[in-house]
Amino acid sequence: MELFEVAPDKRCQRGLTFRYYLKEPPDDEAMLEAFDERSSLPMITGQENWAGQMIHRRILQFRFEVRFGERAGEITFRHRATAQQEQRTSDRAWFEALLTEILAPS
Amino acid sequence: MSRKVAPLQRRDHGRTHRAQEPLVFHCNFYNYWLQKTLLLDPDLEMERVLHDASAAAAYASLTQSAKDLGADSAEERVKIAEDTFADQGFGTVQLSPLLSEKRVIDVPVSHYGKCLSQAITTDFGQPQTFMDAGYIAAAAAFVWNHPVESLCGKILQCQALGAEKGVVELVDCAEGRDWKPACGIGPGGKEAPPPPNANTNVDEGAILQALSGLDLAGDEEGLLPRFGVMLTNHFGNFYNRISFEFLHKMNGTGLLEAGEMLLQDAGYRCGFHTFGGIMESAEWDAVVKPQCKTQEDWVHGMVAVVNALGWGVWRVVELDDQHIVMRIYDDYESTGWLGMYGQSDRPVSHLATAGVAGLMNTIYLGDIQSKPTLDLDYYAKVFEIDGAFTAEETKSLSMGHAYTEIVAQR
Repeated sequence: MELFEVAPDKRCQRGLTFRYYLKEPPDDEAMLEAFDERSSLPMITGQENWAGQMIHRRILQFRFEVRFGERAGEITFRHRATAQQEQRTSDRAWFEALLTEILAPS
Repeated sequence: MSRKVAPLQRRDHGRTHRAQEPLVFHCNFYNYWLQKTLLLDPDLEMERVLHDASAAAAYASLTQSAKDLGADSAEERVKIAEDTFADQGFGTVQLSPLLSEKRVIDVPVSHYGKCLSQAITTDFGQPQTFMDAGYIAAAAAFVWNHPVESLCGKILQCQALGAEKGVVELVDCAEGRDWKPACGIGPGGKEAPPPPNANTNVDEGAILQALSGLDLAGDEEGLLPRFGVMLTNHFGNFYNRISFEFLHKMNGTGLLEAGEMLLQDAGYRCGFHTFGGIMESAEWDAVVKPQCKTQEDWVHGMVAVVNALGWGVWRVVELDDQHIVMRIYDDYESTGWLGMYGQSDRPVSHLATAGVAGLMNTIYLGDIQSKPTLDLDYYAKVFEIDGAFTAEETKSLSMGHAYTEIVAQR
């Protein structure tokens, strides 16, 4: 069963930003907790408050940023401009493997 | 993120300043279309104007920043210059070679080098990083305590042409140079803006409060991805200098009105891509859209967002699906003209005029609520048909009126 779909942002950030649409998303808190538990990379955390809607950011500097909470059931994965193509491919593969692990039925 | 930069200050009438230089948000689409317009005719030699406008605004900002921060050493000045470049979304510039009096500077990430290409489908035929080159010249003058007009940045490599990084070389160039310093904040209008139009479900105060929670500084690379576009928190005096010097040059060839129309065309692109991008963004869906019950609410909502961009205070006076009367208090184009040239004998707010028409076209003709793809075909469909909104600047702060007024109708 496909756990998620992914589409590149078609507008100005094409090539940098990918949107992940989760088929059966867990609640935001569970998703974030699962991600943080499994990610061993030195990520910087951040938050934004959009009129009460909390956006959670996980940033691996000069590589990528993952944004949780922008839209229900979606996660945004954004490469940094300085990340080389080989690194981008590897980073997204890492992210998708992690996402698969989190979302796979237990 | 901790950076050594002078603080941003919100002033009256919707203006934002850093070290007494006005800042306005614009995106890579507008930056691309404006620069493309200015560079259309090589005989106008606008590359030098772009460079010098950047150098003038940057130098004024950096020197005042050093005073505001109490920074005296060359090392501190290098840090201020690097951090200001990154904080405002221009990218990453490595200025430490200046400490050894070296003249070749790397720009590993550049908004103008990397982000303008995302607005087009073809390749560039010439460098695009004149703004970076001018900034670097200003930074060198700032660090070395040289007269700013004595140095120029020469583009050796540009990411817009496929280079892995930008490279700029500093050269001496004082001879025969027509130097114009930045005009700072510029004079503003005396009349206070009225409260937002109450004939809407939109609460502008709440929207501005929510937007204040967004991180609107450059990320660790110095880029500012936001609202589905790449923003710059740019020098208002840069935009004004390049736009108005373009008009002066066009006037010199008897083509002033054509020049004004070209600037407005660039403004239409801003109205389409920037406003359209904002209205399709996740930020809009969270902060503004829940308040919108009518198409008119979308107009009021977008005006509320504009009032966070440093462009002045926009107020909707009249609105229906056929026309809009917009008044703008201290629009940045007028205050810039007044600061540089004194009172004008004709309207100057071409970006604002086109932006108002663009806003109306995007909402009432473009059905932005359905989140269409904002491509060239769609632009033509919305802006180039019979019955599209057109706008006229009926009053202008630059001409001595109390505010700038723009009327758009179809």
